[in-house]
Amino acid sequence: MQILNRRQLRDFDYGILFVTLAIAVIGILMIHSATFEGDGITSTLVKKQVVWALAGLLAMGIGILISQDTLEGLAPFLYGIALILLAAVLIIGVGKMGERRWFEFGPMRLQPSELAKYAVIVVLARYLASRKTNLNRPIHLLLPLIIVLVPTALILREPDLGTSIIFVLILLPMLFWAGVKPIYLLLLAAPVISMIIAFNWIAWAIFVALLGGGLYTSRMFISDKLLIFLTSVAMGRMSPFLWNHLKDYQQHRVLAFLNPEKYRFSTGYQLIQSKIAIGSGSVFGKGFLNGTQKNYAFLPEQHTDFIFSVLAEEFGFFGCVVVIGLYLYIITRMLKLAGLVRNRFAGLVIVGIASALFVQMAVNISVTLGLSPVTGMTLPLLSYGGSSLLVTMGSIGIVLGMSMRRMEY
Amino acid sequence: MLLAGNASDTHGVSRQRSRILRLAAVAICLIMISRLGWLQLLRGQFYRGLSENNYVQGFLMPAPRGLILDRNGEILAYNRTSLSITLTRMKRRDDAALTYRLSELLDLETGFVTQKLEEASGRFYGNVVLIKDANLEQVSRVEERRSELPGVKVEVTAVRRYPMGSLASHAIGYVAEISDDELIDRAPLGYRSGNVVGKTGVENRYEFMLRGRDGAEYWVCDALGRELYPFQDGPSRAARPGSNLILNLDAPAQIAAEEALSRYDGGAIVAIDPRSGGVLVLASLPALDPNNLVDGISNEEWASISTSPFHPLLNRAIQATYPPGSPFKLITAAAGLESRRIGRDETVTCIGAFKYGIRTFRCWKHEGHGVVNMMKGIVESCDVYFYQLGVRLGVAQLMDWTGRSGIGHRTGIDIAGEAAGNLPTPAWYDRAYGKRKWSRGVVLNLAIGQGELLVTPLQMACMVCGIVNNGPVYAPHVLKRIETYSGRMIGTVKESVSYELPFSHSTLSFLKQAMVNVVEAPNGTGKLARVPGIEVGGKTGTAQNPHGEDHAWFVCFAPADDPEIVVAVLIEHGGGGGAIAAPIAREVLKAYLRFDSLEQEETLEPHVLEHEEPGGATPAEATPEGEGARTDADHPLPNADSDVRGIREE
Repeated sequence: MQILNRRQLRDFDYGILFVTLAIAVIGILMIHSATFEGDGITSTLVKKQVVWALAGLLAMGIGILISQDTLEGLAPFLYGIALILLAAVLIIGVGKMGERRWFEFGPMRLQPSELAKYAVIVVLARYLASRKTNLNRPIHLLLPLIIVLVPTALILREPDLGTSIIFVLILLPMLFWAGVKPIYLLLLAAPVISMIIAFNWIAWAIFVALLGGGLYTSRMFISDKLLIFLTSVAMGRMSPFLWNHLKDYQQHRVLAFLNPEKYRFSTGYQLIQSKIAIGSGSVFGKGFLNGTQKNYAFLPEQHTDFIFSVLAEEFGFFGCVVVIGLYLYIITRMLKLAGLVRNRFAGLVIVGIASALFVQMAVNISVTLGLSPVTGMTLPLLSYGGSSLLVTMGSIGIVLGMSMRRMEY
Repeated sequence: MLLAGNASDTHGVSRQRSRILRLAAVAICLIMISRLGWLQLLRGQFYRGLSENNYVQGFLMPAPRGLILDRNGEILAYNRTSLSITLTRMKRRDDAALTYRLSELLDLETGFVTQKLEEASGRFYGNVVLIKDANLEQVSRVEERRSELPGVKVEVTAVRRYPMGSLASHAIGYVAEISDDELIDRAPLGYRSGNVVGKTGVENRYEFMLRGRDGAEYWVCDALGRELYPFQDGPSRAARPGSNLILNLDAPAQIAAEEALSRYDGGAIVAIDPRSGGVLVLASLPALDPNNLVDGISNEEWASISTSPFHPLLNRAIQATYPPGSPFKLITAAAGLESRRIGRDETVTCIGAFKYGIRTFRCWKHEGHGVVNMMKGIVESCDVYFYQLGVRLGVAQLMDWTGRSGIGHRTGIDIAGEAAGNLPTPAWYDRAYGKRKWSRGVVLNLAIGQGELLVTPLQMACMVCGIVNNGPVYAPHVLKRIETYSGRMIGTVKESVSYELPFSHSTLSFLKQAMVNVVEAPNGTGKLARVPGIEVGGKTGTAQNPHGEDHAWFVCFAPADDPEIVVAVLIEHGGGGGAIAAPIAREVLKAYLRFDSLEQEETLEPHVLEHEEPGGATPAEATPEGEGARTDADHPLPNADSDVRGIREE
């Protein structure tokens, strides 16, 4: 642990700190409004969230103090612990409707996928920052894929499709930041595309022909070309086989995911209510605690997944733009810092954390706006949810610490 | 730690990447903000109005289930409309007052109404059925007091009806309310509690075609629950009716088959068009009237059905297995010829019994058949001839030919629950009795179709199809084609060869001739299956049954020169195949070939459809009378090559 010196104090990013706290406070107010019954009593959920926010401040402090070398050294251990927790939650976890997502310790709930997100970010950053990694060779991109796919597979078993999507969406910006050519990012996706497209074999044949032709003319190592081509072909061939070996209900789940139109049927009502809440907020909203839709309509997840609808109803377009602006400030500020830090590992960690924050925010808001199928993702910092708030604030603390020590290699 | 990563020369690259990522973030936020602008700035007043005085109510528009018709367009399953009174969850309503009013008006227990209200608030659409199949008096009472009963509605629903009662009920199957277990698996496909779902037969197998897609409508309602106008911005959509299924089944032949079967305790009849594999008759008795199952039955009733000694739920045509008896001699004969263990003209002397080791095996004709060649052996069903042939072949070889003839394997019919039968190979005997703990003498029983060999009536019909087709056996299918509710063709089931009998053409045409002699020759055992004016081929069988009276078998085909129909009849505990099963097969042949009665022997009277089609029915095709209707398999329809298994919802 280092003692703060003057330069570090100068490089500390007060902007991110204040905006984070501002969003957390807005969140507490919105949770109060969403759970407000009109009888003047503050819901216990609000009190819990306040306690969690204070704990989050502590986590932030710890995040600031952790040096990047310590974090880099700890990365594999964190990753290992995350995997163990993800496996354990499948056995002893609890959740709604037969899912297994949380550990429950009395009144506390811990969602290991929240932690796993950041473990994946640091272990990926460590690998991508290493000098031994040659990012221009697709074979070296296999390991990052495995790093991401193992926890993703475990989370899919919970099942929690929404969270598992974040993992994949974090990987791409991090690879981009590390310097992987965009064309390689596309090729990386080839086996997945092949697997999906294999359901129509003519389309698949065309795809394989194009891929083969493209690879043949490209200037890559022959082993890389073969790797990409063979995994793509193998995934495509296996796809119908795997499909037939899925149980009926598993097939149905995949079909339902590919065709969210069918989901709309059961969630359509919820989405309509969300839209009415948002739309009726109009320019300046109905005012704090004055939202009618939230009390009167059927919005079961209003203090978690649909907290943004409550915000939009009470503070209108103006309030929404301010909140989105606050998020955007944190994220662009982080990305800017990522370009300023000298340590490559630190830069990658910051990009990962910024991406995680952004993806969750964008997906959650898109759902409430009817732009995306329902995923069950919360709005970070704003939604009710203890462990989410804690780790998000902790991760922001890490970014603050890294920016403070930006001149160190 | 020293890393060259962000040395000053790469600093510019980092800045550029940072800029690209920031731009991407800003762009995505702008998309969200413009959406917000649309909802809040441009449509804000509209939504404000909605949230203030009114509310939006979702209504489910159930899709009518597709019809099921026979090959002539006869309706086997349709939907009867029924009125039900439903109750919808509402905020700002005096539920206690409503409960009181409803219980007064409709003479219901208040506790029942309260319970329904609770159920409604737990559901997405917020509505439950209060009274199913309401009568006109109840409906008019509700309609008169509409304004006092916010959230109470009269809805038109559809109830599945099977107009022919228990006819072909094992093939058609039935629908009933979805169970909780099924709901867990199917909820992602849009099923909700209260939906009906095909439980067995075609209703189950083609559920995804029959079901259609429910529609949803969202209405802006006032505080009394009256719909004001449709909510434009919601995910409304029209219901899409399910597709109609046209089956290969031939109702007149099915009726004849079930009538004949009903004289016995239990049995099954399968008839197949050998040229396509289309299943013309699939009868299994005893059967239940599926109309009684649609509304759901009590647990006690269910228990009494499922424990009944007559097993009415068992589809004997495809799920029950029996020793094949003498029709199996056809396979033994073919196996002997193909493996050159015997010649057609080689003779064997039957003295009414055959001694093998220390045991004596008897022929059914105790005085013996005398000198027997293969033709006589089949036509008069001489057991001693086949005992000797069995010994020459041995268990391994005989069962090898049998397995390759499709026995012991599922035929792949498009109804769930098919049994594979049992093929007792030496390996099977080793497993069942222990190595070398069984006698080679089992082959004598196997050679005449007795013993551990077990088949389904469907498998026997398929075997005969292979004989008359000179080898190929088409995969049996109950479904013929699929049409939209408006009668537009969607697809026809593609005929596909499921397997081929492993015998040469000359062997197969010999078997065919032998089968013709069984019926048409003066000394044949199947004389009672004769249909005047048409040459019929067949084979009788009497399968010994350790649990009681013998099972009677008869398999046949007609007309002999160009077979259009193959029939397999099995009568449980019926007795002799020639005396009992053969006349039943004749009834089926006559019904299918449209003989109205024995008196009109020489004239092929075209069959006139007697049953009226219920309203709303979709005529499957312009039914040419009599002959034409049954030979349409010869004329491929426009979409004949689209395999039905490939059809998915659009």
